[in-house]
Amino acid sequence: MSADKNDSKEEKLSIKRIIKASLDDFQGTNKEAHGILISHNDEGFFESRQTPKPLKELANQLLGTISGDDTSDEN
Amino acid sequence: MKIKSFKLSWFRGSAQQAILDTHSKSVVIYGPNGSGKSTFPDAFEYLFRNGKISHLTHEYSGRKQEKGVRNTHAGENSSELVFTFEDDKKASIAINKDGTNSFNFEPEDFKDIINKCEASHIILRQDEIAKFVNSSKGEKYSALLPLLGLSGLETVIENFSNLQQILAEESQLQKTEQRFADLMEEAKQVLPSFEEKEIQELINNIGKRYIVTFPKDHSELIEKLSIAIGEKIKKINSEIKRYTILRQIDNENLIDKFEDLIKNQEKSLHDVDSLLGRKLEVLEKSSTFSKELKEEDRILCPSCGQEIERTKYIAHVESELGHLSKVMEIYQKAKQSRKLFSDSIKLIFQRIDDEDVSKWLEQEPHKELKFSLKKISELRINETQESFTKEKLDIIKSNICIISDKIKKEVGKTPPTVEELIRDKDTVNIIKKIPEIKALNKKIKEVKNIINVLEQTKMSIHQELKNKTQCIINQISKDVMDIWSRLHPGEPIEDIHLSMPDSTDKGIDICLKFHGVNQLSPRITLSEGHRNSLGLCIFLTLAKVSSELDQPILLDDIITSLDREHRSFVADLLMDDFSGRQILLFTHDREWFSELIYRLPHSNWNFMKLKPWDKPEIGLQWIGSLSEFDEATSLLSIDITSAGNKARGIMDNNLSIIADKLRIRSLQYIRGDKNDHRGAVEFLEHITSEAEKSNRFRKRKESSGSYEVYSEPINDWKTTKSLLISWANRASHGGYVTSAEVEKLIEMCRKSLDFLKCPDCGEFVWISNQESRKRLQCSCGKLQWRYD
Repeated sequence: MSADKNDSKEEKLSIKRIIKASLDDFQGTNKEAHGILISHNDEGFFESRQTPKPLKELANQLLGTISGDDTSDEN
Repeated sequence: MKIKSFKLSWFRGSAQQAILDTHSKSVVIYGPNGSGKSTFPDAFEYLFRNGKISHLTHEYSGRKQEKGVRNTHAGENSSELVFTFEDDKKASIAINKDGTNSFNFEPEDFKDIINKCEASHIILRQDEIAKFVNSSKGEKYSALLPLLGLSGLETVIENFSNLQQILAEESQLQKTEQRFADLMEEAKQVLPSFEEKEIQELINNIGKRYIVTFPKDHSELIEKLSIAIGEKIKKINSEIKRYTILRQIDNENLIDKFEDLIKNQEKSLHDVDSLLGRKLEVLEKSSTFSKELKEEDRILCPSCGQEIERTKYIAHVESELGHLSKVMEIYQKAKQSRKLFSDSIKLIFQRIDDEDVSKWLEQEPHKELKFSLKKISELRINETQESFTKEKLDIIKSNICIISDKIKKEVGKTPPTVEELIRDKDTVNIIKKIPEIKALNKKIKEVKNIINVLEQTKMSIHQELKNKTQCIINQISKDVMDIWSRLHPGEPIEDIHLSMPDSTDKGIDICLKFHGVNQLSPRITLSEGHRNSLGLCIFLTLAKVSSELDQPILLDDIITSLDREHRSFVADLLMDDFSGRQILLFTHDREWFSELIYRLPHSNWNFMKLKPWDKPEIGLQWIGSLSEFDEATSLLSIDITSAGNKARGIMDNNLSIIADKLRIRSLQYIRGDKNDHRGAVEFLEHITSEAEKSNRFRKRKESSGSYEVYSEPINDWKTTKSLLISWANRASHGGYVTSAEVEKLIEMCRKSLDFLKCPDCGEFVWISNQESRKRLQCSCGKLQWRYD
């Protein structure tokens, strides 16, 4: 049983590592959003089934990192 | 988690009460078709599927399956199911008439354990045996997912998918993209590019058409331009009308007409005009007078006073008239010029009488024009005018020059067409929206960037899931192949394995080699029997994998499509691989039931028989005795020969199994169909012979513990053999046998078989193999069948 628990813990760490590695590229593009996702990952947010409410809160936090008023970017 | 007992009331085939006591052992339950044995798997499924039975999910069973789960004659009685497990854990369910139910668990948290169990890995029914094999890739994946232990990864993937979706919804991505696409489409129609320089140039060009002064600020310019175009559009009709009127005035060529008038008037001065009139009158009278004169008359010219001849006088008058006609022509021209000019003046004043033109003339830039027109108007020029004084002409000249010049200038400014106005308006509008277009583009990029990062992360997890799934299904495949090769030794169906097709993320299929050729699905080549067998292998593998909770396994009539040989292999498998698991095996096959009685160790297995179904009010009924000979005995009072036949049939079947178990070498035993032509007599003869000549059958002495040849059965077997030859054959061939003879036959047959069962441990002599199969023995070792 103890071995099972260790396996489960190892599994969760592995999931966190994969998520973190995938998000790394994002750091240069949107540092703030990257930080939000990393902090949620550290808390194990993605590993437990989430209802729409917390997902909506996270989505709005991520959208909050988008300024949208900078028009210097060309098409 | 072994089950100790079921107690069922008015559930499915059970009436007042049906109890199945397993005593925590595995159980084989025999029942003929329709005896109600499936009531027990149904009850188990009802418990594990939280009040549902999958095969009752149809329109006739009622919304809560109330028409199916309750005994049809339950009446007002409530249906009850009580399951007692080891450690006194209990689950009970009360089902009301309307199908509503209440579950009760002792202890309460036992409910959590029950909920963790996956019913499809506990219960396998005859009609569902090949369900997994025949299911779609996705269904196979879903069935395996709980076993793969990868639900954590699935949860992460699901969270990321949902987050992507919510992100798209909250950011109104679709709407934003649509708006962006619409604006870009609009822009494409009117803008050459998004280059700032080109756009500025475009604005300047448009601006020239609508405004005079250009504000320095870009936004202010766009705003002013937008307002000016708007105003222009509002006034477009009156402007076009005014332009048309001014153009008509311009077309009158007033200056030319005036110049003509001056030129002609100079030729025909006012006083000459009157003189010409009077002179013309005299000449006309002179002409009349000259016609009355005689040819020789000389007369004085009334015009010049000279005396001249009549003929000369006439020629003179005619010459004078000729001169006068030329002057008249000049006079007429002058008159015509005046008429044309006055007509034009008249037309101009008719035209400018229009409301819009009048308003336009009121505007500051057109005051000079208005003044000149007024001056002309005051001259009251009309076609009856004889001639203009020099003063008048000067006034006319100075004013029509102004009028003509001003009008020409206005006519030069052609008003824009409606299309041009709309295009300019659209251009200015879209330029005005460029900041919005850029903001939308930026927003879309940023939102998509987040969504893409989530997608990448999701795909990474997906890959991990796929890798782990592959790893686990490789292990499962190995177990399936292992079980298959034991159920089908030497058969040309090999390399059975689960695989994940590249075409889908959540799919699993079964591949195999059929006679050396790879097959993508067992459905392509395998017979129904083989598919069922494969389904059984997979179920048993999955049952092994999901053994964490040590749930019982219920197998309901699973060997129907297997032949006798393969059924034997199933029994081997259950003994070898599932000795630690509790199995509840339901069968309607009497032969297999008999075989299992002989083959499965009674220390771990119970054997029970259900009576044929009678009626709903009675429900399930157990048969007290397992012995088939009891059934034969019960036939004595009905039909003696049938009883004799029954005894012989029992011996044929049982001795075939026993000869197999004892590995009777003199039979050159080959398991399976080749034994089918052998009868009880032949089997018994060989068993007796090996026991007697090779001293195979031995029994441990209580006193010394040493073994001695067990010769007691040999005489009885010989007797039984002779009875089978005489009385049983007679019964079989319609001959006459007495009740006493058949009774004796049954008794001897029963006794012959009982010799092989240990009186102490209750197990048959072949239950344990000893020392690399040098001998067989019962569990306690009292009885031995030796090969050395």
